[in-house]
Amino acid sequence: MIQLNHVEKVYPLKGGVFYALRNINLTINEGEFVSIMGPSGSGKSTLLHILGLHDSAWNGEYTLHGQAVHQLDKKKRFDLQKKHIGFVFQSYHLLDDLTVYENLEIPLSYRDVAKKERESVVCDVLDKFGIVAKKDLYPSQLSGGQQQLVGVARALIAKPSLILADEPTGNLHSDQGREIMSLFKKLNAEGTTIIQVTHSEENATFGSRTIRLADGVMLG
Amino acid sequence: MLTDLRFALRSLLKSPGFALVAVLTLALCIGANSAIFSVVNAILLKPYPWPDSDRLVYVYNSYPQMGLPNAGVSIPDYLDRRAGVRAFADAAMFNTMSFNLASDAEPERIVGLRTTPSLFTTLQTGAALGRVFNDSEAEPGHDHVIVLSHTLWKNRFGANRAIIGTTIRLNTETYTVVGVMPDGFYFPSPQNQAWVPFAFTAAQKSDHERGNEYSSMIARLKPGATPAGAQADLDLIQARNAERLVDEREFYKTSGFGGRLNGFLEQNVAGIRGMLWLVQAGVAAALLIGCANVASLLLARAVARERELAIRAALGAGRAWLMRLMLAESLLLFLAGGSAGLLVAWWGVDGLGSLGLSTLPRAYGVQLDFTVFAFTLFCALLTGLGFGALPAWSASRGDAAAALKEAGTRGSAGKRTSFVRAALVVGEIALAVMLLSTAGLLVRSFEKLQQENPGFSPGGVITAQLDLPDAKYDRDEKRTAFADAALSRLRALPGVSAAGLTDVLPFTGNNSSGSYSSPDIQVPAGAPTPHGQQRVVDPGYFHAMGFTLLRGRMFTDADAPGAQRVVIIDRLLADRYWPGQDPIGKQITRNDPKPWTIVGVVAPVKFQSLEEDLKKETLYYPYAQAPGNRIILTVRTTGDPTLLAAAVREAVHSADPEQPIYDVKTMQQRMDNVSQHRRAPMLLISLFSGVALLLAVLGVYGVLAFSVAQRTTEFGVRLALGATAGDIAGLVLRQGSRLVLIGVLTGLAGYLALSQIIGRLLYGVAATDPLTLAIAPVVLAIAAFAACLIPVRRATRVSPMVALRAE
Ligand SMILES: Nc1ncnc2c1ncn2[C@@H]1O[C@H](COP(=O)(O)OP(=O)(O)O)[C@@H](O)[C@H]1O
Ligand SMILES: [Mg+2]
Repeated sequence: MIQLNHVEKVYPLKGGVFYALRNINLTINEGEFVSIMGPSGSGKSTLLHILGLHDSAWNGEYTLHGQAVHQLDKKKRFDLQKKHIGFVFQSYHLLDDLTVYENLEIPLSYRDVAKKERESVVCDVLDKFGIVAKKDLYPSQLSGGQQQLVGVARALIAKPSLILADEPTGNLHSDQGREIMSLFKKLNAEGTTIIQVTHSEENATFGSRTIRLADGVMLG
Repeated sequence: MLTDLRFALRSLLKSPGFALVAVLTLALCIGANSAIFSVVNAILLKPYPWPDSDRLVYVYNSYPQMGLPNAGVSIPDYLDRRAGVRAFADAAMFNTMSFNLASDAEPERIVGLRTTPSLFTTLQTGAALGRVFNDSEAEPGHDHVIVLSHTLWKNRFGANRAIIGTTIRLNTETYTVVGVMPDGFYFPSPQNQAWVPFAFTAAQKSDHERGNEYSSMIARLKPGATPAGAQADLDLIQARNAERLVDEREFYKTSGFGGRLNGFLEQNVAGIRGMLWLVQAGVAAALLIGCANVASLLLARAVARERELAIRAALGAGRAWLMRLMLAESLLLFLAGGSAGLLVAWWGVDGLGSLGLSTLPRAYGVQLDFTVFAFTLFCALLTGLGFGALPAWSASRGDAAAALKEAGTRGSAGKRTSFVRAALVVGEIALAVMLLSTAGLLVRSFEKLQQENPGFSPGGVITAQLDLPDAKYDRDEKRTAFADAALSRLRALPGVSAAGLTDVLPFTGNNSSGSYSSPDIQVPAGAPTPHGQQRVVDPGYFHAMGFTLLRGRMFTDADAPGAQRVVIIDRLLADRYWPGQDPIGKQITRNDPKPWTIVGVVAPVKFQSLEEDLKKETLYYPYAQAPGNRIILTVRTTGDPTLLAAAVREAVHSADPEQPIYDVKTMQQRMDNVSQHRRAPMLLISLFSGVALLLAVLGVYGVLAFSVAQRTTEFGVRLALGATAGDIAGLVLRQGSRLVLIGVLTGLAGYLALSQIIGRLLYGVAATDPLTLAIAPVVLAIAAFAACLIPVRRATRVSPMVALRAE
């Protein structure tokens, strides 16, 4: 599903260039649950940005679902991302002015899903995540764990084949974190490919594989 | 408080850019307000330089049924009323005189007043040097005494204190100087330089003199007396006269004759009061908009300082303390703005003069005095407290703990203040719409006025006034000889196509009218006797002014003193009394039984202003057959008329080297001066609405830019969730257009609420003219859209990575 060949990312700096990623070669198959680990500043987020098609200023080859990303123009990349990828954020990033229901609706509205259909999809997801009772609450009225639950639900709502999560449990208590991890595991079992960045060895055990980064280089 | 101010000053100096923008905005807005207020104050508010000037009234005759609501008074009228109106503490009668002051160099014309000695007791002001007139000097033969203004005494007589008792020569006659008035005193305006007694002959005091209404009358009401009480006595006097004067009774009745009174200030400024207040309101609106912008800046600053304020609060600063700190800062800003504003005002007052405000009545008193200074301080303090309180209150309300925890990244203050800022911007837009709409209508109105046809063609015409002294020009032959000499010289000049003279020129504010009759006019019972404007003109006048002849002929040189007496009438007279008939050959009489035969009909012309309704008929008599001492020369040239000024002086000088001329102006200048009370306010309101537009658009920009900065993360998240740049741009544009829409609607509603008042100041266009009212919203929408573009661009450039970046 994902194939990276000789991917590298450089930031131009005053004194020269800084390699945030060097010679990354990586294959991730459909249905995998991968955890990326490494010390702070090792390039984990940078890698996730590249995988998530947010960043286009890198060298190398990246194939996603058979599409050569490095050859695609901006528009095509964006379409590819819309179709396949969902994001979960460390600080949830729910929109404060919108209710839980409305937050879940956003990705669908950006994908031109008709109102009727949006309704049924959102209701399904609310049901599946057991947060029907919370649908009219605002993010500030939820606990951190609940917010991240909504965050994951929102990432899933457009039925992506790949979920990218950058330290999804970084702001949560360990039992709340465990809940999210179980949820990931369940989603993975249902067929969604998941790539998460994490600092916690315990969280990494939920995954099927761990990739370690240090100073922009993959360690085995 | 002093410590607060010191703190505030230090914190302001730390962000000099913000302070500079705020102070400049305020300086411009407050300065413009002070400049306009200096005009409003000088013209509408400032008392005259004599005691109890608010109790001074102007007394006049009125003939409402004859289309003559506002006439002067006659000597017997004055005597009746001074003695008979119990509400008058004192009264005076006067008329203007032109003095030719003999001099070694150029003869100089001095404007003087011939007045009853009671002028000085009515105004309760005595001489600074010497004395004013005593009653015996109001006797014919004893009246060659003069009181000088302080200015004339200083400028012409070197402030010589020994001048009292000496004689000076005026109009080739000798006057003894008896007094000099105090510095700063004037009546009726500072232009007036001298006063001589108004002596009445026995004949002038008799009933025969009634109807000779060439003088003005003022009176001072007793303390506590009301104008209504005075009016009742005026009516009583009139009723008694009607009882006594049997021959006049019918005329009094049909003409609706009576004495009236009006406040002296009111009489002078009523015509421009509305416009001046409108301009003051307009500039005040611009100030409010400027203040809203500064308040908005202060709010943004408070948001940026949220963490600092939170720390202060956590260290024990109470809410009152925080408010004081913020208030001190805004007060400091507004006071600095006010002080700089005085500079702007000082410069602005000059600018207002060149915009033409100096031609308005009482504009001579426009200056930056203590009142204006106090007004400026008041403006600065009021707006400073009002608009400063808003951010202070808002900022001090913050939750310290929350602010500290969030470490200022996604501050709650930003949220909390965004509503206030939006409301401020909506208010700014609303005010700008109101100003723009008003400006648009004033412009349309002025355009309409300029399109009005005065009935003559002013282009290429230069005019000059001169007053022949009665003592020197005491016979008709001398007058016509002078006129012939001056005019023939003018006609010989290259480029001059016609030259003529008149005794009353359009657009000078002067008029002359009188009753006439005709064997050919049957006045219906109960209708007033014919009454018309009268002019004395020479054959060249109609050509020089470009009058249109409708029937018959113009005057010629053959209409000489010995020839048949002739008169030219205008179409209004012909239509009034002889509709459908040929008036040529019909006869007019006035004063004496010898008739004047109508030889021509000309198109009517406007005399007072372009706004004038052509209703009152005019009769033109030939100068050769009715010469007077009041002459206005009119010269038409094919070139630039202003270049002819020297030649006109030259021509008069060659006809009489002692004769000064004055008020040399082109016809166009006169017409521009008359429309000045519309032109200057129109220009000013347009200027202010332009500033308002700019400030309001800056306000929109400020709010959106701030909001985009606040929403960066949100935009990042939306992008990560699949939003396109277009979706994000739409969000910002929607926010902007919502502000603009609400603002525009509020502004239109506000304008409509005031449209009645504004309508009264318009000419030829309705206050609700839809086409003009559509302009402001469109202009504002376009400008606001442009203001949105930068924030929109910034919003669409947000990278989704900002959302993913761990915090
Ligand atoms: N815009 C940038 N410019 C320069 N260097 C950057 C930029 N963004 C990230 N880096 C650097 O790249 C390296 C990798 O960053 P990142 O991928 O965010 O690390 P992490 O593994 O903690 O997520 C870090 O050393 C960081 O300082
Ligand atoms: Mg990271």
